[in-house]
This record gives sequence, structure tokens and C-alpha cells, in this order.
Amino acid sequence: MRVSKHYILIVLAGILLPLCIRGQTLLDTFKIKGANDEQLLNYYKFWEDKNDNASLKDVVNLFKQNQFTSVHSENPAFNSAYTKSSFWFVLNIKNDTTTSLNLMWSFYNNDIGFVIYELDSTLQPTFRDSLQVENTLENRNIPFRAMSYQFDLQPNQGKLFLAKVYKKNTDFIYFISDLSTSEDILLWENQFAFLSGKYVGILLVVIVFNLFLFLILKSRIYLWHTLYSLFILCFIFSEDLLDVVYLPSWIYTYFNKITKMNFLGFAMIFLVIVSQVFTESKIKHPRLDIVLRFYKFIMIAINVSLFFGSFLLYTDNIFLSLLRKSNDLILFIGVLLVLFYSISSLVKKDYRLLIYFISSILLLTSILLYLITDFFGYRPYYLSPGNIIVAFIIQTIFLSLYFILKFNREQKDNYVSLKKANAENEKLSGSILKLQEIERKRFAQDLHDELGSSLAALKLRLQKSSLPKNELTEVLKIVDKASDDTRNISHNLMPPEFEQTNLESLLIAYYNRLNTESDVRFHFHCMGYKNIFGKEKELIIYRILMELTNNILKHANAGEATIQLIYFEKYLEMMCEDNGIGMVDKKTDGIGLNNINSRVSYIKGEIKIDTTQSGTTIIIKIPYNKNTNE
Amino acid sequence: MNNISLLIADDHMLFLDGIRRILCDEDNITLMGEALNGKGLLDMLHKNKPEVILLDINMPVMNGFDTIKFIKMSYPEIKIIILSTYNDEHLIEKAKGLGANGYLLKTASKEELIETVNLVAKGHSCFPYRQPNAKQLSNMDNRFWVQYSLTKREGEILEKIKAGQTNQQIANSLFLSIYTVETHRKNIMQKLQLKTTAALMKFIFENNI
Repeated sequence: MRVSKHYILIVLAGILLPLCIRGQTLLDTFKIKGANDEQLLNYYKFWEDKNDNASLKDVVNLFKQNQFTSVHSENPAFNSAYTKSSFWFVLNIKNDTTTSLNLMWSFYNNDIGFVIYELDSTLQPTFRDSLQVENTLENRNIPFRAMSYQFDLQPNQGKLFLAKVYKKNTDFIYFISDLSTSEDILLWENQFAFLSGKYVGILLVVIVFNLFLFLILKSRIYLWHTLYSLFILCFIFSEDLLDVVYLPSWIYTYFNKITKMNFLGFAMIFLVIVSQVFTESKIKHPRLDIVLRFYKFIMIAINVSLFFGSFLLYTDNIFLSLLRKSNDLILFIGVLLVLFYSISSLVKKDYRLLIYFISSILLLTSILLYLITDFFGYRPYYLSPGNIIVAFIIQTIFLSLYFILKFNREQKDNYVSLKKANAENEKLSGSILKLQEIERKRFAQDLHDELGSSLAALKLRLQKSSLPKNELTEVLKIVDKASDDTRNISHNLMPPEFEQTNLESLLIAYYNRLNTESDVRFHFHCMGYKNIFGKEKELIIYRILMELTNNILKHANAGEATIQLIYFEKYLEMMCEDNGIGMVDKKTDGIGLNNINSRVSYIKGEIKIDTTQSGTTIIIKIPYNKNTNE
Repeated sequence: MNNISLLIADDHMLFLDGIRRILCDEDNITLMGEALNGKGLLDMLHKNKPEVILLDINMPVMNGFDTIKFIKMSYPEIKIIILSTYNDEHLIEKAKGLGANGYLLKTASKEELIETVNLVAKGHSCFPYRQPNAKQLSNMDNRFWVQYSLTKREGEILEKIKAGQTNQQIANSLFLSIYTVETHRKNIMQKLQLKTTAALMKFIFENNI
């Protein structure tokens, strides 16, 4: 278990024993003096089976011939860097206390397999246990996240173990081992479980949070961040051997087939995507973006092949080994690439990139050191419960904060621009209405003054003419008809002196005139007229009433109609009732109704239409407060 | 019969020409001058004060209504007849309000024109027949309805309220939406200046609707 091995080391080394290991020469026998133990590696003697084909008998003979060498390492790991070999090692232990001890020998790496034999005094091997990662919790002798072998040791009793370690799913023989009393392990695990549980919890929250953000905002970056966090979580599960504890066994049997570096590879792909989207690299740093895209392409090719390869070709082979090695290399390059990209922010003064850099620096160094450790077996700094998870959480908190701030700002911007667009829109429709009215007014006046006066002049002249009486009467009738038409047309376009006359008297006059001219009997009531709307708004109200009235005249087939204007305390209510045939078919369209709707919405009123075959009631309410500040 | 002196202001040359031709046949009416707008007319008034002025409403520079105000301020004794193509109640009322003595449609016949000038000169007011307003025209012979400007529909609703019907029942029986009935009720309350349903019931029974 790479991430937590330093922690173990600290626990192992720090509590009971003085730090004397490094200075001591090799000890043949690991003398257990209490609940805890020391750097176990220094007590191992090993023989490297370069072809991975030695039999147990051969190995025992080699041991007898003293062919095993001591490890003698300052590092906590057995071996670093790539190897093709498997290893055999012996451990001689003795209970130096006066009590019987129940001990656990644990191995923290789930890509490696272990076979344990006990050698008796004549060096005859007896098989004790085979520790394999694919064993689910219930299939293990000890239900513990690390593969462990448990045995008892009486006071002053000694035991000699021979163990074989072989690669299963990796190209490294790199493992941490630990030998301790069960109680001690329990204590340490308790603490670890709390810490890892906390961090896994945070990770899950981050995943769910980003997923929701994606679902709500539909912005891809949150999806990438979700996937990125998900793969980091998978990596942590695999790395800290939490998978066997957290995942249901049927998932675990598939999950453990995938090497953790594969998860880290996928995480790296999404990390690059997030960094690209976050920093808008396509626009701002197009050249680097091409490199990142190319990198991503290779990463995806390797990791997808590795992923499916792990399932389809479970038995390890050269192909998978090659993929894993390429993945290690490209991960290494990737971290350097993103680091370089981030550092370039300092030169380019791109503050978004800088934010990304600050948030990610710790994570990138952690991944870098993690990769280096595979080769050199030592890490200069360590944060519990693991560098990568801590750095990742720091990054995520940083980015999430930024996302929230960005979301806030964008929402504000959106709101402002929406408001602006609305105002613009309103202004535009207002000015269109105004233009229309100006045009109408001019047209009405021209008709009235020019054509109307000319017709009047014509009439005067005709009366002086020498036409026969009968004919004159006929012609005068035609002139009168022309005058009336002109007056009506211009009146409909714009009532004369509109601006100087209050709405109520205009409407009273209008409906009175209508009653003399049309078959529909109009009743007009105006209650509590207030000069609260400006003339411009009153004209709009007037136009609405004209449209409503025209609809009644043209389509309603009504005998009677009541038009009411009631000025309430806070709004004007217009009510138009008729006893016509209703407007069921024309409810939604019709130019007249469109005109009414657009005008009503322009003065921020609301319209309700209640129509049946026995008549139509239209109710329009126009609030004062939204129409006075102009 | 006294000779009536007359000034006319109108921006329409053809019409002025027509008027001139009509008036030259009249012995007792002397056309003293013609102006093309209110300002021109006022300038003329410095020299000649006519008995009657014929005044168009829509004129450039200074329109008819503004001109009346000036004339009535400086020469209240001069009588004014508005000549207009508009046959609108509110304009007639406005002219009357400003102190005009008559209102004549430009499409009036020659006889009407002469008669109006003569009547006004004698000191009569001469306005066309004013149509009765909506309230008087309404079918409601019941003066109660008129007093409160209640409509027929509102009367129906009041009766149903009196019968103890709920808004929903009223809506169903009158084929209206409940919103419309509620609006009617609100309107009735507003017209009767009532605040509560109880007050409405009291009103209904006190007035024996």
C-alpha cells in the first residue's frame, strides 16, 4: 500500500522501539518484543527467481546452500523499478516476550500475489496460505483490506517462513509488509478507516455535486469534473485497498482486474480535459491545446486498450505489460505537460490558468512523486491518508469554489443582459407603436384637412352652380357621403384633438356615435376616471378598446355590448361584454387579438378572455404603478 | 336688417373661395377679410373689428382654439363661429367651453351657413343637436341602475346573489367563468362603494333589488 506506507512506517518505527534499525547490522532473527514491530524489510533474506520457474524444492535447497541474500534497505519497499523476476524470501521470527502473541503478517499491494510456507527445524516446507487479490473479503482467512496471514507465537517460540512473491497485475515487485499483533493492527485500522471514510465521503459529495451542476447547468465542464473525481475515487479505492471493503463482492471481482494505474490514467485524461475547458485553451493557448489534444488521444488509446485488455486477457502477458509501461511513461509525461502548461500561466499572465495552477500544483507533484516512487521506492513527503487524495481534495475545493463564484457571476451577467434585452425590446416595440401613431395622426389630419376641406369647398361651389335642382340634390348627397366617409376614416385613424381631450369624453362620444351608426347597441360606463396614464398610454388603451369594439362589430354577431372602464385604487379594469356567438375558433389567432395582446403586454396589463356561444367577456387589468414612471 | 361684418380664417384656399362666392350673394353680410391662420386673423383685428368671425380649427401657425382664447380675451364682444370638418361631441363641447358662439360643419348647406351667421350675429348660440349620452340612451329605465351605473349583467348577478347563489352557481347559470363572475362582483362593490359581502347583502335588501 503505497500511499499509506509512510504512515505505517511512522507508526511502526515511532511508538515503541528506538530508532536503531538503520545503524544495526543485519539481524537473522526478528525478535518480537512487544505489541509493535520495526522495519521488517531488514529481516528478509531473498533469492531472485529470474525466470520465475524455480520449484519449491529447488528453492529450499538454495536456502540450505545459503544462496539467499539480505535485503538491507532503507526503503520500506522490497523492490523498486520494473522487473521480470519473482522473489523468494525467508523470515525468521521469535517471540521475545513472556506472553503468547497472535500475529498478523500483512502485505499492502493488491497487484502482487504471495504464497507462504513454514519451514520446520529440518527445513521441511509446509504450505500455510496463498494470498491473492481476487479473493473477496469473505474468501479470505482474515477479513482485512490488506492480504494477511495470521498465526500464533508462544513465549520464546521461533518460526521460519519462506514466502514467494510474484507479479499478478503489475510490472513492479513493490510492496509494503508489516508484522504486528492483531490488537495493534486493529488500533491502527480504526484510525485509518475513520480518515479514509471521511475523505471518500468528501469525494462522493464532490461527485454528486458536480453531477447535479452538470444536470442543472448543462455545462460540460461539470461532467468532466464528475468523471475525473470518479476515477480518482476508483484509484484511491484500489490504491488504499478500500475496494475489497467498500464494494460489493460481485463488483469487486471485476474491479480488482483493473490495475490502479489504469484508473489513474483515466483520471489524467479527464484532468487534462478539465484543465483545457477551464482555461479555455482552445482559444487562449491554441498551440498548447494541440499538444494537449494529441496527448489526450494517446492516453485514451492506451487506457481504453488496457481497460478492455485487463478483462479479455486476464492472464498477464507482454501486451498488457507493454501497455502498462507505456501508461506509466505517458502519465509521467502528462503530469510534466500539465505542470508546464500551468506554469506558463505565470509568463502569459492568464489568471484563469493561474488559478488552475494554484489549485493543481499539489496534486500534480503528488502524482509525479507517486510515479517516481515506483522506480525509487522513496517519497520525500507524505500527507495522511495519502498525498494524492489530499491534494485532489484541495484542488476540488478550490475549483468548486471557483465554479460557484463563476456561476454566480454568470447568473448575474445573464440577468443583467436579459433585463437589458427586455428593456431594449420594450423600447423598440414602444417606438414602433409611437411611429405608427405619428403616421396615423398625420394621415388622419391630411385626410381631414385637405380632402375634407376640398369636399366642403366642392359642396359650396355646387350650391352656387346652375345645375337643375334634382340633379343638384343627388350630387350633393354624393358629396355628403364622401365627406362622411372621409371623416370616419380619419376619425378611426386618430380622433381629433386626442391629446387635448380626456379619454372618458372621447369614449363617450365614440360610443354615442357608434350607436347611431351600427346595429350593435353599445353601453359605455366609465367609473372614477383618473388622468393617471400619460396621453401615450391612453392612446394605447384607446386602441385596445377600438380593436375590441371592431371585433364585436365584425365577428361577434352581437346585439348588445357593454364596455366598462373602472378605475380601481391600483389598476384600471376594462371589461368588454357582448352577447354574440363567442370566439371559440378564433381564440388564439386573429390579427385583432394579436394587436390587443401586444398592446396589453406593452402596458404590462393582463388579459382574460371568457368566451362561450352565448357571448364573450374580455377583462383587461392595467396596473398604475408600472405605467406612471415615464 | 343690419349689415353683418365678417372675417374668416381658414388655411384652405378652395374653401375660402367657396365661402366668398356664397356670401357675395348675401346683401346683409359683408366679408371684410380673409386670413390663412389665427395669427393673420389677429393682425387683421387691429384694424377692423367684425361682428362675427368664422374660424377653422386646424390651421398652421395658430389654430382655431388658441385663436378663440386670444380674441375672447381682447375683444369679448366679437362673436365666433367655429367652422370644422369634425363632427365630434368633445370638440363641440370644447368650442363652447372656450366661448365660441356657434359651431358649424364645413359640409353644412349654404342655407345653414347663412342662418347660423345671422343667428349668432343676433346674439344666439348656435350649436348642432347634441346627441344624448350613453347613460340616457341605456335601456335601463330603472333609475336605480343609472344612479350607480350598474349594467344589465351586474343587475342579473345582484339578483342571483340575493337568491343566495355562490359565484360558481352564478357562473354556471350565466355561462361565465368564475373569474368573470368574481370580477363582476368586484366591480359592483366598487360601484356601490362597498367593502364586504355583508355590506352588499345589506345594500341589496335595503334597496329591495
